[in-house]
Amino acid sequence: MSTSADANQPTSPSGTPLSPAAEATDAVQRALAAEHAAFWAYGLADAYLDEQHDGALAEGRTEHRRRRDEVEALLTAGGTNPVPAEPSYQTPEPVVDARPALVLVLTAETDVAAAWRYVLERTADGELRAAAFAALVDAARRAVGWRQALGLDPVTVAFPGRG
Amino acid sequence: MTSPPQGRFSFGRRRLLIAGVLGALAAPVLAACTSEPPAEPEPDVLEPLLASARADAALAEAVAAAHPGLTAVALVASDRAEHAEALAEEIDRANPPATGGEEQPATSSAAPPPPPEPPGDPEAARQELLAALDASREQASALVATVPGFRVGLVAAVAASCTTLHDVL
Repeated sequence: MSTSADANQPTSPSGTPLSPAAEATDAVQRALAAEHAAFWAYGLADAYLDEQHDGALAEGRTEHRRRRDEVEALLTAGGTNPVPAEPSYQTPEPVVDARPALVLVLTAETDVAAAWRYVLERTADGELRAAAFAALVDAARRAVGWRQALGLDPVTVAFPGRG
Repeated sequence: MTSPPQGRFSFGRRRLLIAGVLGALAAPVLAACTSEPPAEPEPDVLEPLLASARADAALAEAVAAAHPGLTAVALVASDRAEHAEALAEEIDRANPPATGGEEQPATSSAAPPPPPEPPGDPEAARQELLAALDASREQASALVATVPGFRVGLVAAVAASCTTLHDVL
């Protein structure tokens, strides 16, 4: 899935490097964008996956909604307008049945893990790091479940969050 | 014409030995009190993670060989070996090994330990591996708050990976 925030080096609109605080805020906004996308992906995938995935779908959806709400509150408290969700997102492949739906949620989790890793690398704040780390671990664990569902081998990746 | 009694001679020798022992003990304490910079660089905080990654990979390999029926053990071996490689690379990058003729990274110069002996019971072997992964996860997680930004991605990935390996084992 692709969102508008794909650039590697955070810069202001004028192209100058961001301050540490602005860099962390920018990273959190990207993580929020990834959480929005994941929440949307789980909603779409739900229509194509049978009941054996109901538990995992519900858990993922709930978790992404919770993180989305938390991050929005965090940004708002810091005086930043949280990025809104897009009306829809580009999927890795057309979602017409179960397999692309599984690929979609796996991709969403992979993107979320990468986004939180990006946050980790751009803040020294202990609390923000702890939150980003927890989000990265959770996304990595759900991704393993979707890799298993897809019958992928290996089912784990050695470096979750590495793009 | 007097010769030192046997006893005094041996006492004197023993005193020297005792002094030698005390001297040896005292030396590091004295050295620690000086403001001289230590001769050896501070050990890298990633060294314990590297040691665990190598130990886990070796244990997983031994378990896989002894109990081919255990699924996902090979995955533990390969993922933990990848962690060891990445950690060694980062440690060497931060503190390049001295190049005295032959290229020999400090982090890989230690003789490999003998392969671990896994429990004969498959379930006990699995439990040992689970405990090792749990300890490694905690060890890496504890560093996430403090390592610099350019290292935290690696440390967090190692911790997250140990969590997922624990899940699938």
